[in-house]
This record gives sequence, C-alpha cells and structure tokens, in this order.
Amino acid sequence: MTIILVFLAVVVAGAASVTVSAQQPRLAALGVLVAMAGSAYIADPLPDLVAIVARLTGAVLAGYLIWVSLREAEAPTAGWQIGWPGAAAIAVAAFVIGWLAATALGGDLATVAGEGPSATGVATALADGSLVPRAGIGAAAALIALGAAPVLIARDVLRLGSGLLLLLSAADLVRHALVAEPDRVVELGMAVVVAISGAAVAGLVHGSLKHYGDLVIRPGTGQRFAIRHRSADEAHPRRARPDLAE
Amino acid sequence: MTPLVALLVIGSLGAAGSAWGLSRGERAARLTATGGVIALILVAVLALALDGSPGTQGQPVDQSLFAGRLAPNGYLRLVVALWAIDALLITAVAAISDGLDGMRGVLPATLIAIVGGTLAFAARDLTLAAAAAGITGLAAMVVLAAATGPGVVIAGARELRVSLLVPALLIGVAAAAPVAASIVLRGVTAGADQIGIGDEAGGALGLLALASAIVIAMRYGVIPFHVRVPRLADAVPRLSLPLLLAWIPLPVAVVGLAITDRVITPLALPLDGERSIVVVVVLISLAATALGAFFQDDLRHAMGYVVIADGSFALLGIAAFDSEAWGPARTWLVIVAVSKTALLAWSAVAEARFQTRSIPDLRGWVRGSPILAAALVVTTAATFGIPGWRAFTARADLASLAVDTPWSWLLMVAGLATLPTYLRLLVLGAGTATSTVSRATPERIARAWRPEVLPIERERTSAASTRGEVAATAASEAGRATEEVAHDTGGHDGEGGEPDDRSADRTPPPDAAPIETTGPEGATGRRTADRAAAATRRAVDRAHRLAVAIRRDRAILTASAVLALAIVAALTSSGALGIAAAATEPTVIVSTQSSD
Repeated sequence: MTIILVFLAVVVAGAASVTVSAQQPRLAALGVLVAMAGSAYIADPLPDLVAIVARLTGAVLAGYLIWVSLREAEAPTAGWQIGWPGAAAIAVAAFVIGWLAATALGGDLATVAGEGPSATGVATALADGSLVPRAGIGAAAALIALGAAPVLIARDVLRLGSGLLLLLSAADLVRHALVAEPDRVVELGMAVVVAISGAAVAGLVHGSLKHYGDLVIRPGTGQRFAIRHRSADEAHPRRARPDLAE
Repeated sequence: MTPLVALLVIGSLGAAGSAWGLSRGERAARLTATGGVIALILVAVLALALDGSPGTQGQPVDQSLFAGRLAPNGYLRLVVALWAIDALLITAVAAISDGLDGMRGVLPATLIAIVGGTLAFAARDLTLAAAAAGITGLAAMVVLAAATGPGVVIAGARELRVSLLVPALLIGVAAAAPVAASIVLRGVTAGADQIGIGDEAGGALGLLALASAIVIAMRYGVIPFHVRVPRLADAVPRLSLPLLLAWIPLPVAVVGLAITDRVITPLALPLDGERSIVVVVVLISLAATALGAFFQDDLRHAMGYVVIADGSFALLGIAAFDSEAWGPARTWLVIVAVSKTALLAWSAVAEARFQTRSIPDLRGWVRGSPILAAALVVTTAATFGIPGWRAFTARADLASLAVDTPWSWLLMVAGLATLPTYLRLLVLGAGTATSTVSRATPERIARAWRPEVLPIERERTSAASTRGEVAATAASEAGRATEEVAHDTGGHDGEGGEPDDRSADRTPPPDAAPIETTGPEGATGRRTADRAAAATRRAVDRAHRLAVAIRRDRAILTASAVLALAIVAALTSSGALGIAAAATEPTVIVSTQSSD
C-alpha cells in the first residue's frame, strides 16, 4: 500500500503539471480533478471508507462543475509559457525538496521524542519513518510551486482557479502528513470545502464566459463607477437664479 | 434535533431556497424571499436558544455534534444572534429600497455565511474551524454571481483568490503549528542538546504566527492587501458591503487568533521580531487608510478604508502573544462587525437617497435627514466608545498588550485616526445643501391632505357594484388631491429619479379603506363564496396599501433601520450585551493534537 500511495503522490504532482501547462481548458480541468482527488488519499493510515467516498465525491463534483462551466470555452488558452517540460521540471525539483524537508522534519521528531507533554499525537507516521507522509509533503511542495504562479500572476480565470485549487490540495496534503490519523469529521468537512471551492471556480469561469466570451482577466474594468474628482457644486445651485427664471 | 443542528439546517435550506428562487423572479422570488427572511428570524431565535455555557477541556457539552467536535458556546450564541439581527435589518432596508432585486444575492449569501460562521465558531478542532472560516468567504461569490456590470469578473477573481488562499493557509498553519510546538516542547524537555532543534521550531512558529496575521490581513484588506476592497465595493450591490467587509472576516480572524492563542502563545517564545512586524503593519495601515478615507471623495471607497483601519487593529491580538489579548481581540472583532455594519448601511442608504457616491455632493445631507444623522452619530460613538465602554477598553488593552508605552499610546492615537472621516461627513452634512441633496426625499413625514370620503349609495345600484365604484371614486379623489399637493410642493423622490410616490399613487388612502356597503349582508343574500372572495379582496387590498405605504415612507423607514443598526452597535460596544464575558471564554479543543 505504501508504494501505491507514493506513486499516487507522483501522479498528483504530474497532474498538477498538466493543469498549469495545458492549453486545452478541459485538459487543465481534468488535471486539477486528478490532483484534488488523489491528494485526499495520501495519508498513513488511510481515512476510513466513509471519508474516502466523501472525498472522492467532493473532488469529482468540483471537477465536474469546472468541466461543465468550460462547455463554451474556446480552446486553446495561453497555458504556461514555459510549457509542460518546464512545469514538470519545477514539479520534480519541488517534490524532491519537499521529500528532503519531510525527511529532516521526521528526523527531528524522532530525535526529540521523549517523555514530554507532547510526546504523542503529532505526525506519528512521519516520526516513524513512513514514506507516505514524505511523499505527501513532496507532492504538496510540487503543488505549491506550480500553483503559486497562476495565483499571483493570473491571466485567465481558469488558471487562477486551478492554481487556487492546487494550493488547497497542497494544504490538505500537508495536513495529512502532519496529523496523527485522519479524522472522519474533518475529512467530511474537507470534502464539502473542495466541492464548494470547485463550484466557486466554475461560477467565476461561467461569469467570465458570459460577460466577455473568454477566460481572460481584464484589469481595470471595474473602475468606471468610482468617483475620481470632486464635483463642482456651483454647477448645481441650490436655488434657481431669478434672472434665469422664466 | 438540537438548536445547533436546527440552525445549520434552516440556514442552509433558507440559503439554497432563496438563491434559487430570487434568481427566477416573480412568484418564486417572492416566496423564497419570504422563506429566506423567515429562516433569518429562526436563525436568530435558535442562536439565542443555544447553550452558551462554556465546556471544559476534553469533555463534550450538551447540544454538541459529532462527538463534541461541534459544540455551542457563549461567543457563538452572541455573535450569530447579532449577525442574524443585523442581517434582518439590512435585508429590510434592501427590500424597502430595491425590492426583490435588492435581496438577490445578499439574502442567500448572508444565510450561507452565517452557517459557515456558526460552524467555525462551534468547531473544537482547529482544522475544521479553519476550513469552515475560510470557506465562509466564498459567500462573496454568491453576491458577485447575482451582480452585473463590467467589474464583476475582476472583482470575483480577486475575491476568489482571497477566499481560497485563506482556507489553504489556515489549514496549513493549523496542521503545522502543533508539530512545531511539539518539537519546541520536546526539545526543552529533552535537555540542552536538543535546544537547537527547539530554536528552529520556535522560528518556524514565529513564521506561522505571521502567516496567521497575513490571513487576517488578507481577509480584512489590510495594507498591502487593500486593493481588493474598493474594487469589490464598485462591483457589488451597496447593501451587500456590510456582509462582505464587516462580517465575513470575523470567523477567519477568530480562528487565526485561536491558532495563535492556543498553540503559540502558551510557549512564551521570544517573538519580538514578529511582534514588531505586525505592529508596524498595523500602524502603517491605520495611518494610510485613515488618510485615504478622509481624502477620498467616493463614499463607498471611504467607508471601505474605514473598515480596513478598524479591522487592522485586530492584528494586535496576534502581535501581543499574550493570553490576555484573547478576550479584547474577540471583543474588538465583534464591535468592528456591528459598528461597520451600521456605517456601511448608513452609506448605502445615503447613496440610495441622494443618488450619489460623491461625498462633496452630500453637503447638507443632515438637514433633511435627522434620523440618518442620529444613526451616524451613534455609529461613531459605537466605533470609538467612551471610557468604560468595551470598545474603548478593548482598544486600549490590545494596544497596551502588544507594545509598551509610549508605542501603545501611538497605537491608541492611530486607532482614532478615522474619527476625522466621521466628523467630515457630519460637518459636511450640516452645510448648505447641494442640489443633489435638495431634490431628495426628506425624512420628515409631510403627509398630504387626504379627503374624507363617505360611502354614497346611488339609486338602482347593487351593493357589489356600489362597493367597486365607491372604492374607485375614493381612489380617484385621493389620487387627484395628492397629485395636486405633490405638484404644489414639487415633491421628487431621489431614489431612482422617479416622481414621488405620493403623486404617482392612485390607491385610496387608509382612512377610506374599509368601505362598508349599505344594507345588511343577509338581506342582500350574498353567498358564502362571495364573502370569502370579498375577504380575500380586502386582504389583498390591505397588503397592497401596506406596500404602497412602505414605498411612500421608505426614506424614514430605511433611516430608522440604520438607526436601529447603530443602536445595536452601541449596545454591543458599551458591553450591555455581555460581549466581554462571551469573548473571554477559553478556546476548547478536544480532538486535535494541539490539545496536549
């Protein structure tokens, strides 16, 4: 099972690369769906069956809503200018860094494990040397590295939304790696969060297509209502001047 | 079903129903809007019915859910009740001002946000609380989905960025902070050879505290995250701003403070560098947003900057790194929410009545709007408080706990930096009225003379037809009379630029309403069906007359609602509602590793 979960972490990082580099909007949506769904299961021990089903449902619902919202999107989009090889290279580098950082953290936890007041209940799998949380943190690092650019310098709403969903999945991976064991209620909550987040991204994509016919973010389009200058009240005298009255 | 479950279910159903129905219009919109308002009322009642007694560590309390992972508490009870009451008043203003259109987006988003906030306040697990608080921000997307205009997409993109970054960061911090804290504790326990590892973890905890502060800053729009706020203010309906700017950041801020208070503060780490960074950001934000608000000519933008200034003060709750700051910080957050709700509602009503967002064009607004002026004065008092009020005490406590004198005095003075903006609005309002203000509907009730109409029985006319004709005659007479009076006074409604309803209305006045037909009903042989139809007609007539009266008097009604919001804010600010006791409740966490 450990090998499968480590492989799943690699798949998640690969899906994130596809998400940010794809020029076909629906391919990007597929990538983010795989990343969201996969990141729910990279945990040691695995969540229980109810939590697994809930997380899968939440991820699929989110991905489906984004998929549907892209029905009228014109392909292709700009994608990431560095292309999929660049994205893959960033993902591999971040994955390795994350893995090494997790190994160091696990070593620290194992070194200072003692009789202290916090001797139990924190990142037990990581402290025990399990490969799953290391792979999880590696995948989280890859998702953060790939998702940060579209979020900070967003050019279209799909890339922005995909980047945000990748960051949310990264937070989920970190959580799974650092908790003692997955909690069913929290997993249910995260399933709802993922589904609602996907719905929000789909709503924004739909709104962009509806208003502009494409996915491009146009800065400055919201400023026309703002009051920029002081108005001259003298142009609107309170009482009409007698000489102008008819 | 416990009150907490009922609250969550009713709030969710009300949100879903009103979101669906209000977008469809016509009968569905009316029905679901009514349902949404009823849901809001029930939420307020259920919130007050919650068990407010704080639970003890590790023990589920009554009315809890999921084996104690969600449990009511006094803070939840007070905050959700205040939120629902404020939302009811805002919804009333929206309905009176803009009808069903005004409620579209605002009503479902409010209900969704209240449900999310309830989950965040009730959660005894940091991750659960972080997820719920963060996702509450997505209620803004509901408002934006119902809005139209060129700025909706860009504002939506900015809002989505904040709304999803916040939960991602909070969840990450909530997961990582207990691990770092654990390493610090174990390092200290294990001995001197492990102190180096503990120091590294201590540094990591400082960064996580900064991340918590960044999350709160992002949600409130504290500098340098302020650009989002004016763009959002431009894009959304004016009456949604209290929800988006004042209430939605509250759960996020409470959870961010909880992470710091629960995990980082007890370790008593030397985090002076982190404290300095946060305090400097607060000072810059207070000064810059206060200046921006004062010199800003756009009413919405100015109010947005005022909210940012007050919201940034809450960051001092993190900068203090002191468990004593927990109560004042949570008190301050509620005071910000209720007082800014009143301020933003004042702004929305003023904008609607005077048909302008330009502050210079509002000169003289006080003269025709004494109730609105009173609301602004009370709101100002609620914001700054007087010595002895909770608002004043919380502000002073946060400043003194974050830094020593004389810096705490500087923070106190900077906290008052938005006062000139309030004074500007009041002083400007006392000046000579601009034409924009002059042509708006005044608040005072200047009812037109209404003719007294007596029932007239004409020969060879049945009772039924007599009823209709008399009513028509009454309507015609009343309409003609009011039209003449309105024409003489030059009455003009500023809201929407339409002629005054008093002149446009052709319905009979209330005193001519229940016109009795002549002759005993039994004698006319009217059947039961006729009586039922007549009763229905009378009920519809009364409802129509009430709607006309509300629309006619909407200036005074909306101003009164704003005054009510201001009074709620003042009561909260003074401490009369028991906010201090509720806010100082300890965080109770039963199911996360941070509880050890």
